[in-house]
Amino acid sequence: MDWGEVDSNVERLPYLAQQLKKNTPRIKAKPAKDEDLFSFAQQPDWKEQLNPDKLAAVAALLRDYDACLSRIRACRVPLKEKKRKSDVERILYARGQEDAYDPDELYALFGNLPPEKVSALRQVIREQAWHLMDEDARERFLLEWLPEPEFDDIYDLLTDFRFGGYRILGDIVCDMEDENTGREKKQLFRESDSKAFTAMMSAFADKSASRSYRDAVTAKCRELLTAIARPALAVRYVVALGRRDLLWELLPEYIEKNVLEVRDD
Amino acid sequence: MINEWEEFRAYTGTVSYTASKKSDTTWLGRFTFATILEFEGMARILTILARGYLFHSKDGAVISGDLHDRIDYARRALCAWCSVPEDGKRVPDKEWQFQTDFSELHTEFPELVDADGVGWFLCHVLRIADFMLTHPEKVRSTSLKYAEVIQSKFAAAWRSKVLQYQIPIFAPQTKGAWTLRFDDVLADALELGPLRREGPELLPELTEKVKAVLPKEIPAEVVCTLIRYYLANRQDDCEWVVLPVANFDAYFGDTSFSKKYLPKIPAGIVERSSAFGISRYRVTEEYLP
Repeated sequence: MDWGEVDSNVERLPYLAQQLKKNTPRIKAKPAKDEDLFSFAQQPDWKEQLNPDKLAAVAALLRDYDACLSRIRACRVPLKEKKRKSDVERILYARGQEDAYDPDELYALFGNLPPEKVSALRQVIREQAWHLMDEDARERFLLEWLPEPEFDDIYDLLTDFRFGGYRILGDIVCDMEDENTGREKKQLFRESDSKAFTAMMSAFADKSASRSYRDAVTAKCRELLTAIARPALAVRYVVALGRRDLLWELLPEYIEKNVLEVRDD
Repeated sequence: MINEWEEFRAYTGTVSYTASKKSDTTWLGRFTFATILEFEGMARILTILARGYLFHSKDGAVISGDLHDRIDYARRALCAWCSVPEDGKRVPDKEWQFQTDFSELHTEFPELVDADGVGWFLCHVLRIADFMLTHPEKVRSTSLKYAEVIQSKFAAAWRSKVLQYQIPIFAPQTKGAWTLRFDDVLADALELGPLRREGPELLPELTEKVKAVLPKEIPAEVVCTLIRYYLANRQDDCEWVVLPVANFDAYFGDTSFSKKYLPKIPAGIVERSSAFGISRYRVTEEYLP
């Protein structure tokens, strides 16, 4: 398409946008050196003067802080469930069975299985190549893995491999497993969490409805941080760890005392 | 579409890159641009290929014996047919990464992949583009515009498709539910069995009856083929037959089948329904032998 011939600026917008993107150089971050910003960084050995134990403790706390915020955000995203249901519907439709079986009922049937069993089933259909089994092997496989009487009625359906029918069992089992692991991932508190992490997560869990999640976690983190080092000193630890981006969140009142005057050169 | 062995030969044999006039698409072989550019109809093509190598010897005779021993052989044939040389950017250094260059299969399948890793399909598509550029006077202008697209973009698009085909079935973290994989192709091939060579023929009276009611613009051959395909594929427990539209287009030579004829076939002869990306049809009792 020859954009030179288009004279309406509104119609030229996509072209202009493309040109703008093409011709705008990417901004490269050029962070100022610590000694240009902070008064305490004037001494070349300022980092060595910090207490290594405290430095490690602050590093661990900041990692927990990031992880805590990230888990909260992840838990807020709604679970996308039953991604493969349309494939099941499609197979049924291809075989003219769309009225004979209800995919939701099929999912419900598998939903009653304990998560460990679902995971084991997913693994075993892969290892034993369920999709390549002959008819006798399919039957034996189901008797071994789904012997519960409620599955009797769908043996015929699961062992019918026409039009990709081998995928029905796989689709449902994979979806159920994804749902189970998804639910696990959506747990705010987990056993392996550190004390500081749990404290920050509790602050989030107990916050009032009007308070933002970030605010609640940040306040708790600040409390834990200043327990490791007093606030004026804590600034140094945060900067030494290369996390000066967190200063405005965690120690806003203590920045001013530590920064140099801005020069206009 | 009825004679599947012939279809297999069309996907693996020699294509004549010629055309007598613009409407003659001999040079496309049994493919359409929807397959080349969008990979439509690929499920059937790959399944026909897999069945050919699973169940038949080179002369077409049906092989007896344990099929499961031949699954790996059929998979290698699929890889060879799909082979695309690497573009040099990606080095498959890790064991789990899939390859797309199957030049090592050249000795086993010389008809499917050359020593440089150019598989049958890639070779065919590139020759289609060559033909269009060297004989633009024999090609419809609507097709001609695809030649450069194919030359610049096809290999990369096909390479990423071939990587996708190799993802194991039931693998965790598989995002798309409708993706086609070699595992599905092989399972479908096992289920479908050997390729059909002969299909039901229609009595002359039935052909005449169809001709009598068809609008002039629809060739009777199209509808008769649909009826024969229906008879050959109807299952005992279902009156619907899935219609592989993209493959029918390729069989008839261009997209007239799906665009012009199919929508105009009287519902009194063929009834259609579609959902979930599947098109299916049934022939009314009156037009069945």
